[in-house]
Amino acid sequence: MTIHGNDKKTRGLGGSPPCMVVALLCAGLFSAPLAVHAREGGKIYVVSTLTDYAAIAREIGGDKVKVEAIAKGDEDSHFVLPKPSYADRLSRADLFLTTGLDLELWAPSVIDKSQNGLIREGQVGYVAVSDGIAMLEIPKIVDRGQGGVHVYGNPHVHTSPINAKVIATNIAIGLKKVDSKNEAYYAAGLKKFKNAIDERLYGKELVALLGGKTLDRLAQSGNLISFLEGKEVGGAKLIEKLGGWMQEMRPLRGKKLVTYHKNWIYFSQLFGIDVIGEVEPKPSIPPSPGDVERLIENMKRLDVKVVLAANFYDENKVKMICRSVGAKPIIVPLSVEGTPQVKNYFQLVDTWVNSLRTGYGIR
Amino acid sequence: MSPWQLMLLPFLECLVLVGIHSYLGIHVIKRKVIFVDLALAQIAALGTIVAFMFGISPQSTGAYVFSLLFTFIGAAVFSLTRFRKEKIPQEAVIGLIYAFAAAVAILVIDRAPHGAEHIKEILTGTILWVEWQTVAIAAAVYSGVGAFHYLFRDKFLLISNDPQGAFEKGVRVRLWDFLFYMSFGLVITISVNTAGVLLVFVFLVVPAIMAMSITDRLVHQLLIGWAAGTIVSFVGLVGSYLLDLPSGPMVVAVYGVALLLVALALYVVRSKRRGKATSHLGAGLAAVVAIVLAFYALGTGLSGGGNDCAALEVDGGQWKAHDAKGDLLARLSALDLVQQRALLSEERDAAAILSAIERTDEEELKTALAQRLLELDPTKGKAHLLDEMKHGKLPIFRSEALDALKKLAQGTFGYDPMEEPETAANRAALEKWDAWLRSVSP
Repeated sequence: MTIHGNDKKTRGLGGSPPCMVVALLCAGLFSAPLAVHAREGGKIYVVSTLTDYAAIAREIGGDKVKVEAIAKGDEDSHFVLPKPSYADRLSRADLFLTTGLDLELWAPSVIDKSQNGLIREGQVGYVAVSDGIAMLEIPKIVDRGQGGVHVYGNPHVHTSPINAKVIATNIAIGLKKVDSKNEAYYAAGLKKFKNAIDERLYGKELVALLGGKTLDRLAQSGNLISFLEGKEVGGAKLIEKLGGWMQEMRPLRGKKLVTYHKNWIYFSQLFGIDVIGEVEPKPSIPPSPGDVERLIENMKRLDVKVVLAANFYDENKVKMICRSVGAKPIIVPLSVEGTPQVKNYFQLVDTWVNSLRTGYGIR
Repeated sequence: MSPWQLMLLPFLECLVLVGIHSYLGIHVIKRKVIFVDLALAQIAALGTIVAFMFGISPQSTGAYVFSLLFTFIGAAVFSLTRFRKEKIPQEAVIGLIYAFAAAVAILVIDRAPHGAEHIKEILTGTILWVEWQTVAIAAAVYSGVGAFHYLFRDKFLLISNDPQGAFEKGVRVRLWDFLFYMSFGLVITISVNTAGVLLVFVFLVVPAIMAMSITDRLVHQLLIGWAAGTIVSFVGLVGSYLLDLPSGPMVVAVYGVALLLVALALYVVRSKRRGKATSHLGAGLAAVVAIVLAFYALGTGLSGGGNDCAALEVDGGQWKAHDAKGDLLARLSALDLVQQRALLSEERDAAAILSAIERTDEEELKTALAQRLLELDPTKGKAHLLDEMKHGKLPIFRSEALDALKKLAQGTFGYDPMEEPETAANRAALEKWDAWLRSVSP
């Protein structure tokens, strides 16, 4: 019995070194082309389409990465004019982060121009950050007559903090693929980011009790608040433990909102805000009188007091509409660095939450 | 909100626009500077954008001052580039200035992406959103410009009709040219802001063309231009309302159709042999129909026949339906805690639940599954719930497991789910729970 056991053990031990050698060789072979890139100060060079993805990549990659975004934070990501510097940046990139949907239609041509084979779709250096996100507004019938219709659904996925965690996970996987020796570092960064989002979203106490994943599922199905209200644990109602953005947005649940364009679908779904319409339902096509009539009628009937718009849209137009129905314009950045004060993803969501609270008169 | 309320202000704005633009359009056509309004509008937009670089927000008074000063510079350039002996047509200069202003605007905007939306806005305008104040200001400014032109009508008409003659008579053509373009720029800066470049362009050119092809007398031309503009604006806005289409582009399209109708009518009326003209008209109409049909055939032919849109339908329901038949664990992990319990209350297959428990390492799912298992297979259910109490990391699921078991054991043995299982008190309690489990297991 003992001999047999020992024998097994030895075989097991003897089996692993060649295995590891092969694995190392493979890793060496595959990472060899990456070494061609002049790494920026020994750092992995990450280029993202949007500033939001760049901000998250910085949280995960820390000092192992250098991150730059192509679109500016106060730019409409649908329309970015390609500049020579974009191709230049991408030609040196180790990792390219894009939504992976049909938001940045300008991205493929910039990738082509960069002639960087590693960041093409399907290659190791290409990350579609929206992978695995439950898409909203997937069109039943694809028809360009609907204006800039997004065939895969609404691409402004970063507006939900839960989606931000999925985005972070995809970025971490990408970083691991191009820089496997720092895998543990990126895994730790990802864990820290996810935990920070959880605590900022639900409050530290509730996360310790239920865990982020359970809370996410409840929040996304819209059952979170009713569940917390009906549940007692350890002699205290769970709802009293709720903190963070979810608590700050609780007075706004069920409130009616009009947005300029469909930028905050994921955000409003998560926080239970009822978006009853858009000022410009079809991007870049002016609304028809019927659209305007319905919107104004709905805003008056449902007593909508707030219009939320990204700060790259024509501010004056938003204010005009607000004046005609007596609503309050709330103009905020859609992305990180959209205003100088918003330097990371947490500050971005803080800005949305605080602005909306102000808009609805909650102090 | 009644259609009347909604469309009244846009209609009044159209009337105000028709008033001055029909008149200025006559000058523009006589001077052969058709695209001058496009160029001036672009220069005005450039002014707004440059103002923005200084932190002045678009459509504030400051931005307006900037765009106005820019158009005055443009006016100076236009008056200086009208040469006495025209070698280079002024239209070329105007086109160039348009192109330069547009390119520079894009270059400037690259440093301030905020303004990009503004550049797009000047094309289609926001006539539907126009407000009382805007209409009132426009009416006041246009009246002022109109009065100015009425006062100096001799000079303005002379330099537009016969610049050579004016030069010879010793009129200061450059000065009056500058004043003309300056007042023109004043009008354009305001009108483009609300109506957009497209609409302003047709307001300027179409009534003038119609009127000038009908009569040569200025007063009659003006009356015809105003009447045509009023009718077309009305039809366009009503059409936009009824067909639910964007207003600005709709008025532009109606202007195009109106001009075509007038031209055809004039052709028939003016020709010496009406019968022949009518037959030409019929032939032309047939040709148009034939061309439309040909394109239709080409379009359907190239797209592979029929309307394929429906084939691209995304079936959102299908994967879910498929999933629902699939594995229990896969179905559960798409649901929240409340939904999981609802689904599990329908599940009667203890083996499927057991297999799911063993395959997941999520406490949430393990606990939900074990709670249901307790009803179907009490022995195994108890064991898995106790397992959660021993190893669970999240207090809520330890508490759920305890709640399910304490009914059966009629007590907690001192176990506190809010504390870690490794505390001395909990370890002692768990030993008692183990003893209880052995005593109740067969």
